[in-house]
Amino acid sequence: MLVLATLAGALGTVSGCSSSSATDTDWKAQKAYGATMAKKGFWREALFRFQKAAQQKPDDAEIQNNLAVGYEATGETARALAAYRRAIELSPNDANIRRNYARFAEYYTAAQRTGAPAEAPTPAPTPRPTP
Amino acid sequence: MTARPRLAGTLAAGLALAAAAGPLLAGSFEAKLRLPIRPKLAVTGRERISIAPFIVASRTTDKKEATRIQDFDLDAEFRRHLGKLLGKRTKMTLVTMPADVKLPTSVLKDLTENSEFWRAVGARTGADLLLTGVVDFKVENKSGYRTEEYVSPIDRRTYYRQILVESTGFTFDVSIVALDGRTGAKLFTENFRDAKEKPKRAADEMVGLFENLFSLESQLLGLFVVRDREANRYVFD
Repeated sequence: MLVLATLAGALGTVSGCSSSSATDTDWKAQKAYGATMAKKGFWREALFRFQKAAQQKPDDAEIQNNLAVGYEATGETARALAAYRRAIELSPNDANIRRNYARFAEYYTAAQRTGAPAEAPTPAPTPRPTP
Repeated sequence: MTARPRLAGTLAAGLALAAAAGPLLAGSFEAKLRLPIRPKLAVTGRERISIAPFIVASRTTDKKEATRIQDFDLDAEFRRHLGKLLGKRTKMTLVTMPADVKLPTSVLKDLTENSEFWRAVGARTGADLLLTGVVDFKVENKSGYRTEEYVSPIDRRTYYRQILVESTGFTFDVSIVALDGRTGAKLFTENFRDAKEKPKRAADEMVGLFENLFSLESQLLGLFVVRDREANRYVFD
């Protein structure tokens, strides 16, 4: 009886912690769902979830990192750069974030060298009027 | 009698520990993503494109080393290769450049600034985009003496000796200029270079040239089509 009572008490404490507020669980759920989508390669959906999570928890380095990866995967390099910088600012010693940022910088530089990554491509030729 | 409270205490401590470790166990994983590299030129991909003659930068190729390419038309070969590449790998319409179109100058700067000429070429061919530039291919004898370690079978001591290593270097250099077929204005200039070395003195020059060209294919295509590359990034879950 005593064992059961203790178990019930402990479980009560755990569940009480996880549902302390609706918002708290929501950003976690958005982040986790976004990560699952990222794992499957659905980057648009993942980005949408990370954006939702970032709206609720703007000062979370992990969410900013995920957001940056999402932007990178969808070709929005300027936004990715801003999000990576924010993530580094929030958690300067996180090895994974630093590694991601270094890899992103490599891609960004290489893309600029061989073909612009996107934001400012050379203007297109003037279209000819169709006869 | 004391066993039950002890067991209960252990269980409670274990659960508390698990609850505390929850966020730590969240962790991260490496996700694969394909990063788009957009083309240098903002094209729809369905433009009409025409390849004008290219300036051949120098005819300084060491003739003793490149006997097979003495009378080789580098401009024509490069244009044929580029045309084939664009025709196969892009959706652009390749317009044949009339054979009588000759470049008014062999100075790249003057050539790209001559918008009158390019406008006329554009009007004649009906192309939206015109390509020109400078090509250069060099064959060099890279043979030379190198120092090598040598263990004598007689006294088992290590000596150093000079050995002749024969090799041939192939360098292909191209500057591509894209011009607006309607206005004659320059849109961009991009330079590509590939250097290779073959471990033989008289390696075939034509093979060297096409190896250079094949190496540059993806970079050349990057001017006109979206490419992507695979990458890994850490995502927190």
